[in-house]
Amino acid sequence: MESIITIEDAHTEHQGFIRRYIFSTDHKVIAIQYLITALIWALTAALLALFFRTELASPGAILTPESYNASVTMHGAIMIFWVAMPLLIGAFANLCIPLMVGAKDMAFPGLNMLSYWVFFISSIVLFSSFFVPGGPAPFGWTIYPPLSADPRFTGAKMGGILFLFALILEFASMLMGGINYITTTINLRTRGLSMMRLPIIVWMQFIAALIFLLSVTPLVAGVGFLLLDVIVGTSFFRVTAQSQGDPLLWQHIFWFFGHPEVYVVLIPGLGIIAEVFASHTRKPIFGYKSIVYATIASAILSFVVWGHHMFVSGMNPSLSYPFAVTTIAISVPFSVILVCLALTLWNGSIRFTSSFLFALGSFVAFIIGGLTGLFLGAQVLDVYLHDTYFVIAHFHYTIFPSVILASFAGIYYWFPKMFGRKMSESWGKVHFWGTFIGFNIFAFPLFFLGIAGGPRRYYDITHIDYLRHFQWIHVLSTVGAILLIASQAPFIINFFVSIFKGKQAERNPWKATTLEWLAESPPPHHNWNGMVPIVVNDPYEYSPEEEREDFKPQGILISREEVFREGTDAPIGKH
Amino acid sequence: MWPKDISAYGYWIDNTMILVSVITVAVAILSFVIIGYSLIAFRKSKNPRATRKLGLISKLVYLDVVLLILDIVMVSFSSVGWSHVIQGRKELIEEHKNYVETRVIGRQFFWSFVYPGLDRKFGTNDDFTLGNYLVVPVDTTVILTLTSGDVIHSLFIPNLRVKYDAVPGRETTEWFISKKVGDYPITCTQLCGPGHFMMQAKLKVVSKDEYERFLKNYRAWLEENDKSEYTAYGEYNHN
Repeated sequence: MESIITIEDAHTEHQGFIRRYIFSTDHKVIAIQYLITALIWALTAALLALFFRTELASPGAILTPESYNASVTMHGAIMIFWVAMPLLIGAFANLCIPLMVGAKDMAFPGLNMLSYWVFFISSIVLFSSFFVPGGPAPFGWTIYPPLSADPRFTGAKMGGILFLFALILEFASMLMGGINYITTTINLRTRGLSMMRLPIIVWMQFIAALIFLLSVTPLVAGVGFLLLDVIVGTSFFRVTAQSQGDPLLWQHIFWFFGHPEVYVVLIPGLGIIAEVFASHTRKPIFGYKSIVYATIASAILSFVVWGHHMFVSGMNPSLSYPFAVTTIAISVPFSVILVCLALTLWNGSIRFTSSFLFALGSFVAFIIGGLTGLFLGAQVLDVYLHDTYFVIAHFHYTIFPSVILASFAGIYYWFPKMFGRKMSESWGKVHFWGTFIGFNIFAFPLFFLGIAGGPRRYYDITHIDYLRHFQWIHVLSTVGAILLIASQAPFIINFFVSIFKGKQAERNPWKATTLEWLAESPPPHHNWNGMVPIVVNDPYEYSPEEEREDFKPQGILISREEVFREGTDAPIGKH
Repeated sequence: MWPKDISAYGYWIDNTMILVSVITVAVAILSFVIIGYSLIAFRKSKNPRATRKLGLISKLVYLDVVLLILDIVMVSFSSVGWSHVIQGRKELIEEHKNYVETRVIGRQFFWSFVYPGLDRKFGTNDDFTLGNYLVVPVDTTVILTLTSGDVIHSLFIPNLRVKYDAVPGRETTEWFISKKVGDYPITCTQLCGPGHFMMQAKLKVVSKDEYERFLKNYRAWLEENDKSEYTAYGEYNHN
């Protein structure tokens, strides 16, 4: 007990610039490092998208079929593994979990720093693959062998190898982060913070880290086998005259990971929406327990749905019955979560800030994404819609809201906590409307291209008789994409200008309840300035009936002496 | 936008599409109306202080039960459809003794269709192979045995509601009955390399007599009917 309390916070103040801002073990600094790296990657992947969308609108204009395939592969892989993961799992989990559970830092700060730097190395490895002969990996972000297992088929040997290595490093990095999030949530909760008093986002990050931990291991082994196929010429997934590997094995391994992974990047996004909804409607989240249990249920279900990616792959067709049932069944817990969030708006007192607009846009777009999933989960319809643009539209309507829109909501919301200043609200609204309208113009028409039978990953559809008339969809979609990408300019400027010149933020600019708003903005190293936060309320005590103030903070800050005066049986958590 | 259905079982896919569309559009409209109303009625200027009590609207959670029932309807319908469309083929092969079989081999970046010839047996002298050109008789069960010579391809015939992967090292089967004579597109829907988008083929559905003539002397038949469209790849070498 003694040792817990006597660690001095002060010595960290003497750290040099490098130790403090570059090789830092402070979870908030690591969160910002993750955030900025992920935003740079997001911009890179968006530019790739701009290239191939321009290409699709006017075929043959800027890309060759080879570079088109490489661009779509890199766009997908970067957006999932180098943007969604570091943004939601890296940045927001790092920022939120220790502050919201009242801890001084993560359970393993050194591991946390290692996690970021391994991620950084994986970024460099991936980035270098753009400059090797043959270009970056062109076999689709799903990496289906034998196309990916044998460089003769694509001519991008080095690019493929670097991509697979970068992937392994990225998984290792996110695993290190995940171990921290799980341990911190379980062990470092402050006094009074029972599991059922955790803010929703901490629950979501905790569940996401668990399902990532459980699903990624087989894939890392699979990537290892695939690397052996590519480099040494083994036949795990390759079929040659002499040896008989199984290409479908990869699809099983990949989607066994792939579907939980979708929820790894989706659930934390819903957590951000919940936080922003509660503080901006001034109401407790409706059905807190239902949301938690529904999330756990969907997390468990997510492990038994992977076959819905493989209905027409040559897998035994009888397997499609259980997979269709589980896939459609997963819509039930998600509808519980969405109904609870929608009812949180009812009778609220809604503040339309940029942060709320992004959360709302994310919520609305995600409803479309979730519902269109039913088309693909109904296996007989999937025969037709599989690998068409319908799939593209569907997953952009799920991933884009849960990753990009929710992250913007989170950035506008926690920016004061991260940098001690506020972002401009009016530019935030310009950013929101451009992004939201641009996104819908880009993604919604693609449903119809899919219904018309337009296959995905086609470089050009104008030479195909039955698709030629739908070229206007690509043109419209490209216009939307250009608007979407152009609308990020106000954000980038707003973000960097606000870091230095934004309006000074007080501790609790949104009058929110959760623990992070008790800390200074930005919080010092070890967060609490020598004080100790303890929890006295449920997480979302907004608009309590008996009081004048419309919120009751979840916790209070007390001095260390008081902690002992109150009795030492209930520790504040080990730091 | 939805390509015309010429398949004997295509109605299962089309009806599932209608069923799922009606359900999802209804749910979407209901949720957007509720959300839209909340945003307008409960904005800060209208409702300066939030109230925790929800009243009757909290009964909306029973929407999840309704959704569960709709889910069961959808998945049952779809599963019955699947048993007809994909799984039905075994019984159908036994039922329709006079089916027609064609082997399909996907390669970077073309389809080879291997016909058994008049004796209807593969591996005999009258087998022949056409590139990117599939001829089938109308109103007859057609079995396609798919495989691949290099990477995974996927045979997609939108009008027949047929899609199945051609995987190297294994044979997958697909069946259909076409109900209308005509020319229809065939495409590849699994990324197979830079020429993926060029991997187009043509399906020609002909009358049964016409098909017999085609098998008897395909060269003469092609000269007569579709001179410009085909490329013959000669005998397929099963390596």
